[in-house]
This record gives sequence, structure tokens and C-alpha cells, in this order.
Amino acid sequence: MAEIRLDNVGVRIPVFGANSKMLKSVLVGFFRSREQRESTSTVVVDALTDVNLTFSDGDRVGLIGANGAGKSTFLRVLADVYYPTSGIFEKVGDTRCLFGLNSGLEMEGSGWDNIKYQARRIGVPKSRLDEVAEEVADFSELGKALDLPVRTYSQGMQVRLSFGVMTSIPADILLIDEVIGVGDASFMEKARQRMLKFTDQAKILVLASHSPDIIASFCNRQIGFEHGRVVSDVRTADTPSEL
Amino acid sequence: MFEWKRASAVIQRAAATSDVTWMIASNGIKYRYKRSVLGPFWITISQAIYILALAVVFGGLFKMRDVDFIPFLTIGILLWAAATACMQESSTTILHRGGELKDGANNCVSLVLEVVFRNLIVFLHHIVVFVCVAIYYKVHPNVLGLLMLIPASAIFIINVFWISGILSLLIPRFRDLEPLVFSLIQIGFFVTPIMWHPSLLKEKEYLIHYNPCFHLLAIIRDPLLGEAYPFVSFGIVSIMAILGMAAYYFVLSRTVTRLPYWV
Repeated sequence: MAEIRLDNVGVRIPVFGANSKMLKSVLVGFFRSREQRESTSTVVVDALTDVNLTFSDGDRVGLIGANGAGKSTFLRVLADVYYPTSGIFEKVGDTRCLFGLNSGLEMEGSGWDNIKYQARRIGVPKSRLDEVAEEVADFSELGKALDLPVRTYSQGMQVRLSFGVMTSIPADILLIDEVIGVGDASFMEKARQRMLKFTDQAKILVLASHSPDIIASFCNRQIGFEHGRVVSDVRTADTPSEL
Repeated sequence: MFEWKRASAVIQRAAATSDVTWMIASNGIKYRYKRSVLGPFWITISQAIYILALAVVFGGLFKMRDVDFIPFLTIGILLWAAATACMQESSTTILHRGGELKDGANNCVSLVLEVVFRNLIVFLHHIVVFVCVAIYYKVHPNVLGLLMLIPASAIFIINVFWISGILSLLIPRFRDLEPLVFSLIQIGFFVTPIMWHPSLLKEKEYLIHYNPCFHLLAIIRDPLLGEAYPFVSFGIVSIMAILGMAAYYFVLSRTVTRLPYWV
């Protein structure tokens, strides 16, 4: 069973100026008056404010909103990367995330090497590594390109590889940022099938995208963000429409 | 303020994926030297030339016999270079690869472990220089010392690891620590007996016992040079390893949740 619960969750990100990044300024700060200290203090950005949401098994959530609305920050909270600075965040279930296109990829390494690195990182046991690698290679349709260094890959090829690995063994919660959108049409259909299979085995999918098509075809719930707040939460058709 | 649970979770993850970290570190060296015949041995040659230059100048200055000085200098330089390379690279690894932390693709302990592993592998290439020197000057390591090399190396690596780890966590927050650390390493090189033999201090020889770097080098260097095993140094650096790892855990628990905001 997978469950995510957020109660009044807020994330305030400190943005340190060049000066407050220095140990010197902290030490000097001890000898300064409060006014002087505040004038050089850091700017704080409210990236998320008062988020109240509950996700449970079977939820395929699409996050929508303008750039900077808080979608990625929200995903990072769910992934335990950003720690909420206020409110309560509870999560049950293993989490798998796919946020950056090339994050975690060793650019000089071959496709095969990278499949193995990432597969091990998400917990594929050594004994099943070759079998999983074959399956991912098959899904990615990268063929001979898998022998080449990943730095030679296009974005679409990178996402085929990373997405393939991330969905190769089941997890309770799958979090995907924009990246999926760089795939071509045939990949999107394959990805959708694979994701449905993946989310069938349970659980929760949360996906951020600017593409209404992707959201409509992958998700059964849409959450809108604006300036770090949730502004809409709509349940849509339970069986996603065909692409 | 202290996120012990989170810190433990990160350590667990880093330990569970340490085999991947090792693979990435060793393959990283292979990729880097893919198009060269000698591979990392190129750097070994440059290290050898560096040691030779220092040997000629300082051996002459201090009027030491080559047989006493050159093996001593060689192993000292190699160990010092490996340890400080770890600290310097770790200082910036999180700053440079913060994206991987923000994307949840890696964790801050694995990044440091990767640096340590990579430098360990490079060091194992460089050790050839010492082997050649030791054979040429007929150095006889003692048997007990060679056996002690296993725990001593482990303790040496643990000490390098916790120092590198703490630096990697603090420098993203306090950027001016980085040049400070670099100068400290510089100073450390001169005040630690690497280029000069402790006996040169004569009646002030006791002073070097206050230098932790000296003890750290001694546990590996002394037995390799055939000297009596420095059990006192071994005890001191063992305690240092335990306290240091505790300190690393402490700093990690203070910084682990804020690190993604700093990079």
C-alpha cells in the first residue's frame, strides 16, 4: 500500500547572497548590531505554501501550472529531496523519481554501463542485473547505440534509457518531472503502456507536465499550482483516453 | 535541528550502493584515460619526476643519505598527495554535482565515497614508484608491519573519508572555507615530516607528536621502511577515526535536509 499525506506543507528556500555564503560574514555577524545583520540577511523564497493533499493507491496525478508555480518543488518534497520547512509530510512506500534528463547518468559511460549503475541504485539485485538490463535495452529500442557513451545521446534517447530503468522493477510511488515530454510519439505510447502496467501493480504516479495531452493520457487526477499554492484539484476519467 | 533519521537513511543508501560507487569510480578512470596507452600511469610518471626533483634538492639541503631519505620521501609524498586530493576534490564535489542531489539521483555520502574510491585506485597505480624505490634501495619492511598494513590502511582511509565528508558538507554553505582549506593543506605539507626527517628537529622532535598528520602517515610509512611499528600512532589515529566519524554523522544530521537548498 502506498500513501502520501501533506498537511499545510510549506517550503521556504533561503537564497544566500554572495556575502552571506561566507563564514567570515557569519563570524563578523556576532559583533554587529541586529539592524546591521538584518540588512545583509538572506532572501527567503516561499516555494510552496499551505499544501494540503492526500494521494492513495491508484492515483495517477498530473501537476499543471506555469513555470515557477511550484510543481518541481512539490515533486522534490515527495521525493524527500526538499524537506518541508513547515507542516506535516507523511509517506508510505518506496519512491522512484525521474527529474533531470541526465542526472545520475555518467556521460562518458556507455548505455549498458549506465543501465547497470541506475538499476543497482534503485535496488535491482546483482543476480538479476543482466536480465533487467536486457529488458530495459529492449524497451529503449536503442540497439547498437547502447555501446556508445551516453554523451552522444539525444535527449530523447536519454529519456528512453532513464525511464526504462526507473520502471524496470516495481515501486510504490513514481515521480516524474517534465522530462518525459522529450520522447517521440512512438515512445510516448510505449511509455504510457509501461506506466499503466507499472501503476497497475499499484500505487501512485505523480507527473508534472506542460502538455495537456500527456496529462490527459497518463493521469486520472489533475492538480493545478499557482505561485506555490494548490489552486485546483480535479478527478478526471479513470481510464485514460487513447492518445 | 538534528535529522538523525535522515542522516542514517543517507548513510544506509550510500552503503547499499557502495558497489555502484566503486564501479563508477573505477570506470571513471578508464573513461578518462581511454585514448592513452599508459592510462593513469601518466600521472604516476609525473609523480615520480616530482619526487625525484624534491629528492635531489632536499636530500642535498638536509645532507641526508639517499638510502635513508628517498624511500621515506617517496611514500610520504604519495600518501599525502592521495589524502589531500580526496579533501580538495570533496570540497567541490557537492557544489559541482548538486544537480544529482536535487534530482534525487545520488546522495551526498556516495559523492564523497566516489572521490575517495577514485583516489584510492589512482594511489594503487602510483605505489609502483615506491615499489621501484624500495627495491632499488633494498628497503626491508618488517613482517608485523606488513600485516598491520591492512588495518592501518583501513584506518587511514576512514580518516581521509570523514575529513573529506565534513568538508563536502560545510563548503556549499561557507564558500570561503575552500581557500582556507587549501592553505591549511599547504601549511600541513611543510609542518609535517614528509620532505624532512623528524630527526632533523633534534631536541624539538617531540613537537611533531602534536601533529595528527604525522601519526596518520606513520602508521603506514614506518613499517614499510622497516622501522618499529608505531603502536602509539596507531592508537591515536584509531581514536581519531572514531571521533571523526561521529563528527561526520553529527554534521550530516545538521546539514542533510538543507544541502539541496545550498547548491
